[in-house]
Amino acid sequence: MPYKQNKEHNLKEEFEKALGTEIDFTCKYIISPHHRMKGKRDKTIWTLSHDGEVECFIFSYSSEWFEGNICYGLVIENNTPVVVGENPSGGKLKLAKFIDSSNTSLWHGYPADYLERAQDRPNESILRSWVNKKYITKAKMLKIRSGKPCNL
Amino acid sequence: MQPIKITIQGDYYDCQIYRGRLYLWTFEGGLKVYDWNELVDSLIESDLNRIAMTFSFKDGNYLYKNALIEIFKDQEFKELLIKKFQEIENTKYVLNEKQISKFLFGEQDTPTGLLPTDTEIYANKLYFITERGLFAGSAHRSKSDKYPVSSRPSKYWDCDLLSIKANRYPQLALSGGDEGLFELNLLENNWPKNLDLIENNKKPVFQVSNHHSSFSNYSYANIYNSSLVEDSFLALFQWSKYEDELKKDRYRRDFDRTISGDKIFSNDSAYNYLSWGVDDKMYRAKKNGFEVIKYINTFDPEKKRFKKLADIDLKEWKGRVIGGGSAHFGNIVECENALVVVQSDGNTFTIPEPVTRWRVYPRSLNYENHLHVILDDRLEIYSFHHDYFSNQMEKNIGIEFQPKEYKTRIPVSYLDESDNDEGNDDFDKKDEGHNIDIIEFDIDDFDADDLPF
Repeated sequence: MPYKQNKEHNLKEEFEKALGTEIDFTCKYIISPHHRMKGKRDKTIWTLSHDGEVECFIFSYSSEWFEGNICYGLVIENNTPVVVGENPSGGKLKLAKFIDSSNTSLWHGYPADYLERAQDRPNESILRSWVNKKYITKAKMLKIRSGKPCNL
Repeated sequence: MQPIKITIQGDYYDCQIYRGRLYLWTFEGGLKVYDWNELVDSLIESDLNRIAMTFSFKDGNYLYKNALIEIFKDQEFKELLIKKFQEIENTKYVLNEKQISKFLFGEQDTPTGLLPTDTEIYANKLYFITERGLFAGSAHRSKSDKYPVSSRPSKYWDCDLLSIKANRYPQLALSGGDEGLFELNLLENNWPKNLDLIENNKKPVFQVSNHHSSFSNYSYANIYNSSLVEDSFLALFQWSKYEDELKKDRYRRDFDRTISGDKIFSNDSAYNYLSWGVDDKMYRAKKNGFEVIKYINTFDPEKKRFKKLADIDLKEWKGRVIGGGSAHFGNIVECENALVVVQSDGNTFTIPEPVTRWRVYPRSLNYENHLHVILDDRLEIYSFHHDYFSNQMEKNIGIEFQPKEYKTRIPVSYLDESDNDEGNDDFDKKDEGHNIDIIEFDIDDFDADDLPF
C-alpha cells in the first residue's frame, strides 16, 4: 500500500495480516515530514521509503519491542540489521524509534541516533531480544548501551 | 615477554576484581562472586611456579617496590625472575564454569535485575549504572551475609548514563552522552563551590560540563572527558585553601576550567580520532598510531602543563578507535574489531576479535597488572609483567608508577605483613596474615593532609 506523508494511516488490516489473527486494538501511523527533509540540523532522516518506514513500524510493534509509549525497530535482511536512515552529518543509522507521544495510539517515528543521543538507546529488554534472535551480538548490545559505535 | 592468561569459560557481561574476590555478571542476569586467591592457588601445580603466579595474579603491586628496583639492577636476579614468568607464559590455564564453582563465594540475581552498563567497586561499595540510573550498595560483604553485594542498592540518580569511573579523592566521574559530564561527590561536605548541583538524593551530583561525554577518567584531581561525538577535553580542578571553624587549613577541590583536546595535542585531528587521559599521560589516536602527551600535575600557572612525549607509529587500527584506557603496563586501545595493548616496553599485544568489555585496575592495590577481557563465550584475565623492569620516569607509554602515592597505613601485599613502616598504627592486629583485608576507608575522614602534594 502506498503510504503518504502527514496522513493518518489506520494499520488494523496490516497488523491482522502480520499477526495472522484479528486484533482488538487500534494503531494508527503518521509519516512525519520532519524526518524526510534533508538539511535540518537536529533531525535524522529516513532513507527507507514511506512503505519501508511503515513496514519497519509494523514489524517492530508486532515484535513487541516496547518501552512504554516508545517502540524500537530494525529492518532485517539476511538476519542482519540494515540502514534505515542518516543523521544530519550523513552518518548511517540502523535503529528506528517510534513514539506514541500523545498516548492516543497515533505513532510516528524516526531513525534513532544512539551514538549522539543518549535517549535514543533501546533498553536492555529490547536489546536482549535482538541478541536472542541473533540480530546483534552481546558485544554490540553493550556498545549500544555505552553509546559506542559498532558495525551493526 | 608475553602476558600470562587465565581463561574462564562462560557467558559474561561484566567483571570486577576487588580485595581477593572476582565478581562476574552473567548474561542471564546472575552475579557470581568467587574467591580469587583460592582460584589462583588451585592453578599452581609446582612451588617452582608459585612466585610467578602470585605476582602475576594476586600481588601485582609487590614488584614495583623501591627495594626491588635496587635488586633488579642485579642482572642475575632480574633474569631469574623473568625466567620464572617465561616458564608459565605458554601454560593454558582454562577453567569451565563447573571447575570454578568450587571457588564460589556467593551468588545472587544482579541487583535491580538489570544488566549493568558499567560498574565500579570503591571503598567496599558497588556503584553501577543501568537504564534506570545510578545505584550503589555494599560490596565485599562477609560470608555470613545472605548475598555478596547488597540486593537492595540505593538509587543515587535516575539519569541513564554511559559510563562511570572512580578516583581516590573521592568522586565518581559520570559520562552522560549528550547530557554532558557529571561528578558524584562522596564527601559529606567540602563540595566544589563553582559547579551546578543538579541532584542531591543520596549524594550530590554536580554538572562539570554540558558537552558530550562518552567516557571519562581521572588525571590526578582532573577529569579527562572523552567524546566519540565532539572534541574531547580536560576538566581542570584546583585545590582552594580555606580555614575551617577550628582555624585549621583545609583544601577544597574546585572546578577551574576546561582545556580542549586541540590545545593539548599537537597533531591536527578531527574529532573522529578519539583521545583519552589517565593520570600522567594523555593519548590521541591518529590514522596509524597515536600521540602521547605527558601531563605535569602542577598548580603553578606559570609552568607548562603539557609536554609532548612521542608519536607512536603502528600498523593501521583494526577498525575505528572506539575506546581507550591506560594502565601501568601500557595503553589499551579498543577498536571496532580488536583490542590492542601498546605495552610500556614498546611491544604490542592484540586480541583480534570484537570484545564485549575490557577492564584494567590501575588504582587497585594488587591488580594493577591485570587486563580483563570479556568475549562472547569466555573471560580472559591477562597479567602483564614487563613493566616491573621499565624505568618508570622515562617510559613513554602507560601510567608512571609512583610508589609514594601507594604508601598506606596498612599492609597490602600478600608477602608483607608490614608493607610500609610509616604510620601503621591503624592496622588491626587481628587481620595480620590476611593482609588484603584492609581497614575500610572512611570517605568522611578525608583530610587535606592526605592530598598527594
